[in-house]
Amino acid sequence: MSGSIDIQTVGLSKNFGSVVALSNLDLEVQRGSVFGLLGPNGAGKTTAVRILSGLLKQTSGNAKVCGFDVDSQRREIKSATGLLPETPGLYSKLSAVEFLEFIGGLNDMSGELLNKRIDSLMELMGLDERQNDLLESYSSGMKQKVLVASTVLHEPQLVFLDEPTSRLDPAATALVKDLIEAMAKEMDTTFFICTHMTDFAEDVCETIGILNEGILNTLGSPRDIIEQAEAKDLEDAYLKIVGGQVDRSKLLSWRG
Amino acid sequence: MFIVPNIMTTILSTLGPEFEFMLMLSFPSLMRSVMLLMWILFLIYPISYALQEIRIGHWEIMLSNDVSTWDMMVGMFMGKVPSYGLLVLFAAPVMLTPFVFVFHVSLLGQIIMYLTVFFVALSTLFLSNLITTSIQAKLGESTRGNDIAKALSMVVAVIVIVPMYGLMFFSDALSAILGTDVFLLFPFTWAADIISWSIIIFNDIGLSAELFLGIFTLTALGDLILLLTFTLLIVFIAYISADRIFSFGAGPRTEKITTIGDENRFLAGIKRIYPGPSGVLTVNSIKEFTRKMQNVSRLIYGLIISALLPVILSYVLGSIPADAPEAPAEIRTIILIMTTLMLGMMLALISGVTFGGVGFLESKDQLWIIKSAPDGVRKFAKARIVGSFILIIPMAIIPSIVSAVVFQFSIIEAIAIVAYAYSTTCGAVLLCAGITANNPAYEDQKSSAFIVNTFVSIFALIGILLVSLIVGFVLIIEGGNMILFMLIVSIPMIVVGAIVYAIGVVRMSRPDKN
Repeated sequence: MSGSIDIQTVGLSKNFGSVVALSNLDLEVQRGSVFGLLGPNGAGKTTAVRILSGLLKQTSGNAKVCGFDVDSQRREIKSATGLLPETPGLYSKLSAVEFLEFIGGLNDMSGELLNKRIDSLMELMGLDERQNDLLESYSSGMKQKVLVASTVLHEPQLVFLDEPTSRLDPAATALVKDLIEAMAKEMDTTFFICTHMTDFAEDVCETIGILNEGILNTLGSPRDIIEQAEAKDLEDAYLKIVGGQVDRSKLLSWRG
Repeated sequence: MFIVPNIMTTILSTLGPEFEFMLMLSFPSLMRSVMLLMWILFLIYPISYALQEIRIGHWEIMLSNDVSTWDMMVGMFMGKVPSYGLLVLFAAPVMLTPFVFVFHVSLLGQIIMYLTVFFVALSTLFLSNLITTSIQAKLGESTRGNDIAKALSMVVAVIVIVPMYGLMFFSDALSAILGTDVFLLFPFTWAADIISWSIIIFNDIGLSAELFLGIFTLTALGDLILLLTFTLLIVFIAYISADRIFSFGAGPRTEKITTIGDENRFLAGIKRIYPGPSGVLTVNSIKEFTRKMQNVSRLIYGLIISALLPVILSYVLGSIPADAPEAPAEIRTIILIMTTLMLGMMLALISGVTFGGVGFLESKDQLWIIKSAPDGVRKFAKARIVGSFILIIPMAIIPSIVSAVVFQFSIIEAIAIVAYAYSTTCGAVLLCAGITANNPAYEDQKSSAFIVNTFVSIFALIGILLVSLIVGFVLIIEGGNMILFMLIVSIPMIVVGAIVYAIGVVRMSRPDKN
């Protein structure tokens, strides 16, 4: 970590009509760190990522990403960041290589450098044997790997990963984990990861924020959060903070 | 069934005895044509509609419960009955009232006529349901399956209607070969003949069957037995094949895998002429567009219709008497203008809706990825439009060459037609893509955004073309020359299209508010 700050938000809020998706988010994420935003479905994680990556306009508050303002310097933010969206928007009629060429083109890349990177990433993801097959025939895990490759292709300073491992098998999850750690350590890349996979977050993230109904409840290292919640692991802490612990006596009450 | 017959009777009574005489002479053949139309409508429309998007995920949920495949088949059919039943309820009186009015058919006769129409509608709907379900299950709910289905939904009408009308045209020759009336092989003929027999048996004007024995090969009972047998056979086939139809085979490991080869010379050439990231985006844009069967089938469809247009026009103009009062030079100018304008309009409509409508952007998720790149939307929009302009070149050239050959135009005239067709089509693509960019519909052809965009695109295209045409003609009348006319009719589309597209791209680039 270099000590400078890549994400800084002050009172960041977003309302969709009467629904408060994000409320007064105050956050700082250091360069080269791996930050995890945990929370249940509909907590506001994706909304936060979309605002920070310049795709969604906030209702109030402000934020700086890689030193650029989210209101007036969206182009610069997009140049400096990479985004893995929650749902894959791949071009089904392109091959993995062609899709990565397309993403490279959108990020002003072409020629030898682009081709070399694509080949290396395909090999790293274990997709080199099927890199020329149309994406329509890929499984959801394979598609996710292509998307991960497309997110880091242009070597962004900050990477937003929205549910990166939700469709991956354990081997692919381990690969993504290693890739994140290597990029953060060797290249000083910052990661902002939205997930509800507590074990993944506990393994990878240095700092974790727990978001519930748009409000950031908890912020700290996984160890600090576990200790504060007097829990045995992050999942237990998460359930204590967010709620959702099951009353075992009621598990079979639905039978009447 | 009460209001329509009353209104129609009032209208028909004003038409006079000539209409009644005409109907009396031709009613069995006319009835067959009417029933053919209904049969095609009930067979094709449900298939075409269902193929616009395959959604069979719910089959798995139903079949995991205590529901048999046959129950599902019948349930799907029953789900369609109310809407199509309502259609028959409105259409049947319009179809049958003229015959009831002219032949004074008794109440019992009318009941038989209406019941026959309802029965044929239901049996055709059942057949259509069987075909639709089979195709849906075969293709599966996959990207590839959906693409093929969308392409099929567009050509299914052509596949059925063209042979049917071809059959009508060559029926005499075929009948001679087969030794019997070829139309007797189709269920709509049996139903039409049952209705015609009802008219003969229950008419109140003394109409005799002997007059029409040349047309009716079978008796009313024979037709009825054939119709019932056909319907029972369809139901039996559906019953025994229900288990086979509702089977799931497609999955990531069983789906057909398409591996792409090396880039062809054409695409490599584009990259050489247009190097850098823009060339990469344009080439991949072309690849993505042309690999979708639904896009290709639309373009081939448009190309064939546009190429046939001058041929049909030539055939129609061939019927003008040689000693027509107009001077040959004037006729030639009119042919040139008509061909050019009609070709431009046809290509503009088909290409605009294809490149600018369904083919523009696949999904909202794709838009997120594009928007997350710096100036991503602008780069994507530029690549899409350059790719479309390249693909339009053969679309404009081929029909223009056909018209130049058919009408023996000079090379200069042929170049002028190509230029007009190309510029109008480019303008149309800009306009339609602009409309879609302003109100993205993605590939959901059943969404309200898609329907609105299609209507707005078609009306805007026709409106701009007609206004330009009127202004052009006014200028010609006031002494303008042909070059000025061509400029006036071709430039507005490009200008308006470019403005709408630019606005759409700016709006699409903005961060979402919701």
